[in-house]
Amino acid sequence: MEQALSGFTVLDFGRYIPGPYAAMLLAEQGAEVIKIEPPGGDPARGHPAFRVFNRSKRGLVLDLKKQAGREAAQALAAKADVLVQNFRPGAAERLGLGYEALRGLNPRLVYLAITGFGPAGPYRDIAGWEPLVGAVSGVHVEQGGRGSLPPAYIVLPLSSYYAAFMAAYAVTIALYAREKTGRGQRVDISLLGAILAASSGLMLNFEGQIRIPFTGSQGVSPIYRLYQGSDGQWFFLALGNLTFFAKFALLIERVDWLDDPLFEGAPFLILPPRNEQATAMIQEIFLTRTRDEWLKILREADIPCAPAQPVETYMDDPQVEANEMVLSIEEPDLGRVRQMGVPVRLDMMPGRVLGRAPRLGEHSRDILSGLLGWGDDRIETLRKEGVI
Amino acid sequence: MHALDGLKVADFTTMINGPYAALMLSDMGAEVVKVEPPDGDPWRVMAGGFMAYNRGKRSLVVDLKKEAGREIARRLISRADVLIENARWGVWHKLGLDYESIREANPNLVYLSSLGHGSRGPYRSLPGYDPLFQARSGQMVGQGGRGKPPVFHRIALNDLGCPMLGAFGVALGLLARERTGGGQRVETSLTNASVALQAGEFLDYEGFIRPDLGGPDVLGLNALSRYYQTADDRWIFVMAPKEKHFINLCQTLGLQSLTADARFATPEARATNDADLADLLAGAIRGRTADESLAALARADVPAALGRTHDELFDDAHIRVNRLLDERDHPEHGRVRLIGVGPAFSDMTGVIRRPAPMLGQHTEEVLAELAYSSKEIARLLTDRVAFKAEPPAGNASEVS
Repeated sequence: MEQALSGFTVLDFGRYIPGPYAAMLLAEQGAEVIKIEPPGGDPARGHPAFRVFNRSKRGLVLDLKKQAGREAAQALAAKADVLVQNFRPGAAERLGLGYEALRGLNPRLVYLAITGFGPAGPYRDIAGWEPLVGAVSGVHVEQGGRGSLPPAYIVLPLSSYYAAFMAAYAVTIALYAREKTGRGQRVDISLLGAILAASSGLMLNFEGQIRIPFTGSQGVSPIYRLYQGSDGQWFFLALGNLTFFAKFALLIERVDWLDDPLFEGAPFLILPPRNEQATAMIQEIFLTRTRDEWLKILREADIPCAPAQPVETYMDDPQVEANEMVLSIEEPDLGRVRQMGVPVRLDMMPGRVLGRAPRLGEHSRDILSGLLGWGDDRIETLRKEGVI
Repeated sequence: MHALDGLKVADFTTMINGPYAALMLSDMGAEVVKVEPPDGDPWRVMAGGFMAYNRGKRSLVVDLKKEAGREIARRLISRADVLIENARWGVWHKLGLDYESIREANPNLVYLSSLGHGSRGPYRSLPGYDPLFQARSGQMVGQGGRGKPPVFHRIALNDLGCPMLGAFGVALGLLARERTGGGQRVETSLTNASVALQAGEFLDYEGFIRPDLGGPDVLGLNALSRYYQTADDRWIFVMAPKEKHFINLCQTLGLQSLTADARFATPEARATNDADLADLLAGAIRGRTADESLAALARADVPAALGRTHDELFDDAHIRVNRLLDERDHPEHGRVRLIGVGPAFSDMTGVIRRPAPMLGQHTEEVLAELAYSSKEIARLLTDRVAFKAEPPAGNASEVS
């Protein structure tokens, strides 16, 4: 066996980010992934990131609004190990792809449904769009600082990304369970549940709970926050425990800080208004040298720190390269597209990237003849009818 | 039934990344033993965070600096299905517990290294705090906007993303073990997670136009996808991406004239006059309460949602129906409400076996399972190789 998921077939009916990304993660651990799109294509096709979320897959177009299209989809589902979809609740059923219908055809099928808000409850039918999940889940208001402060819209589509990770995990768990029971099952992942899981340490409630107070959007404490060097460049200082705080105090010749009441609660619970005073004192010290000078000095003293830099700089980071997290894929229309590597490595079965995202319907014929054994005539009829 | 019933996990991790991977396995039914040093996981100072990342586990306290302590660890590992570690690179080699050293004793072990910077590269021995990766990777600059102050993400983005990827890796390792026999080492890192959490942004090619969506007070993408403040000082997110949404939105807010206004007639015109449009919408929404606007927008089929705090979610009917929260009694902290099991399965259930453990709460019980006699256990405790929980302190609320 070359990879952990070698020999498994995944039907990816996903659109936009979460379903396609989950299926891509499965593809690169060895699964054979077929991306199935309507004749108009995945609505995200025009977006550059489409290439990333759909690489390592083969492409099939099926018009699920036509009976023949639904039949082809069901025939594929009867042979598949995993089905991935992120339609709105109820839409898959209307397309003949509901779990109840498919489990009858293939009791071993692992059926993944990713929704915005979950299969039940009053918000079930809200469009599963990233910003609405951010609002409902509380993450925008919490990022903004609560109270009278405005919410902060989060630019990264975090709930989609976390949902993809969680979905890849849950599908693999269901495949593992299937080895023991012989049966597949339905797996439900919601963007709301995924972003709340990522908020686990912030969203809880008990008597006597101590919360880290909001001290602005540059960090959580004077010794765990962003600072500027004399050149105005930013870096993060992460004195995450008292040993690092001591190393820092020694370096800047302020060992008196270690028992100064100003820093009581270090590292994370230096409460207002002390935090502002301490922040100002530290910022003043950092204004004596450039950011990069400080980074060198701090690193030599084993003090955790990192520059704040844009993503394109990170793409050339030696650490990213050493861990094979950046690679290039040749796209006929765009040339070399640099993008992420495979984020999970099994030593005996390393992941693989099979190549660029398929063009719309690129492998329709191969898939129907190869996987379903359909003859040329039958495929040609479907083509003429506009089904594929 | 639970997917991972009977599976034994030895969790040697601290803080967030690592503990959360073990928690995801625990939620699927695995029995997780959290192995802690005598002064405990440093994250215990954050009582809430510690409970959120360690519920369901048992706590075994062992001093790995002593040979007898390492012997306990080896015995635990030889009986485990999964081991998870997230120490700085090199620490496990010094302890003689790295994968090469222990694979012979347990060739079926799935060994997850959930690292900071990864096992390779110039920074592999550096400490790995989440915000360092937020800063270095572009997550902070992306949120703050180009040429403006970077913004710290309150969610420990990579510290949560990494263990989700790690749990995926463990599941792959377990599945491969079922199919072919034999365990293996699995690796992921905060480095990998910081890239994977920007899968659509970590991208470059000739002619690529990099979007710059962030800002110090970013409320959304544009006038038709952003937060607006209401008369009762709440904020609602309004999304009107399609023509029909725009028309319905204007009608709902009593701004019908805008649909005939040349400045807003086409998507291109609206993009050009985005600030004007935002001002007009803001004025109308500021004149009504959040409830009024949300009800009217729902009737008009315009997607919108109230920006809420976490506190408001605890009693939310939707959260309850989807069982996104768990609620149970903790010996020290009383009634604790926190996030429940994430994935839902039709033929299996998730499980939270117990509240987060007290430090060393299960030391004796776990040592007994490892076939230490009661005499040996007493000796290990006297020699300060193993440690058990002290009786709870008098005033519970002071402990944290």
